Amino acid sequence: MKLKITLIAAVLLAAATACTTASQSDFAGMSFSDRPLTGKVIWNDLITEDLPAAKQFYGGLFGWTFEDGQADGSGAYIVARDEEIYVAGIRSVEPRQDGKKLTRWLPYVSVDDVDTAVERSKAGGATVAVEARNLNLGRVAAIIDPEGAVIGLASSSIGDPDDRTTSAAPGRVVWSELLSRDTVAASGFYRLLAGYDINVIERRGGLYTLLSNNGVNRAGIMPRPADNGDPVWLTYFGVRDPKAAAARAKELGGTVLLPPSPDVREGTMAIVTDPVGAVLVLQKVPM
Amino acid sequence: MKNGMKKILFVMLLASSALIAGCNGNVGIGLNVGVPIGNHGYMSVGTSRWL
Repeated sequence: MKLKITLIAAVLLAAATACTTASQSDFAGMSFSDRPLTGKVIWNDLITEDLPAAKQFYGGLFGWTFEDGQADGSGAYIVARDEEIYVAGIRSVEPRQDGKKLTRWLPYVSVDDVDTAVERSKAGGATVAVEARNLNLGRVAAIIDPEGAVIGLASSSIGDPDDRTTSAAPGRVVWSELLSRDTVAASGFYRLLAGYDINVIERRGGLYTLLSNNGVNRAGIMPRPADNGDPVWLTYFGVRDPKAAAARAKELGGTVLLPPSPDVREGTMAIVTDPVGAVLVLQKVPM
Repeated sequence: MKNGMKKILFVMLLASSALIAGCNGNVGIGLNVGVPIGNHGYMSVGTSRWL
């Protein structure tokens, strides 16, 4: 009995030693704020029914490399790096029995206190998708806003990636935008949630809402481009050439929903889906 | 003495298991929100309404 326990412990200890030297996250190329950058989208996860297909697509499109990440519950989880920066995560989920797809890009907004933010969101008409819980680097939750758009909330224990770390570049997340049914109501909700300052600007013949904190624009809200769609948070990824990137997305098994066109933001963006169906925007950078 | 050794080994076992549990790196979030996506095909129409 003693020998068995000794052997098991020795094997586990050896594995643990190897893992602490080889698989720890490398933040050397990133810097973090001293205090929460409330309202900033500090992380984005892809939820997908086909993780291998997602790896192939995003690795081919953006040149990302991948590492194992921590899993919350069942399902594999990997994190993507663009050179020295952790860019996003990819979470594998089981397909639903009814065939409805779960795949989506999910942004996480920094909040001072996740539990308080969840309560505020409920008071504002949201429902909880995932209850608040602790992870290695902080506390997180996910909510469904009053219009049905899903968004994550996060409070990081190591500070938030600062704006130098997350500066716009190809292969990085460069913007987050809510397509809303009622932009005024949505603005009020997100101000309540994350303390945003609301700035409505005239743009291309319509009104675009900027959500900012401490003078820095953190996200946008615009009316849905058509009246029959569901409100959703869109994640924008930087590319040098939207047309070439959209063609590459198609080659990799994606679908082009909206090709770059002079009529749409002067050809600076394309909307595509990955092979599983998650929507993403390819945005020309510098913006 | 025998009991003491057993305790030490058991603690080693627990400590090793705990270390292994945190082995997969510590970055990322990875929640499964479990909410089906809606109709997003509309993004391909209404092109003049992208502000």
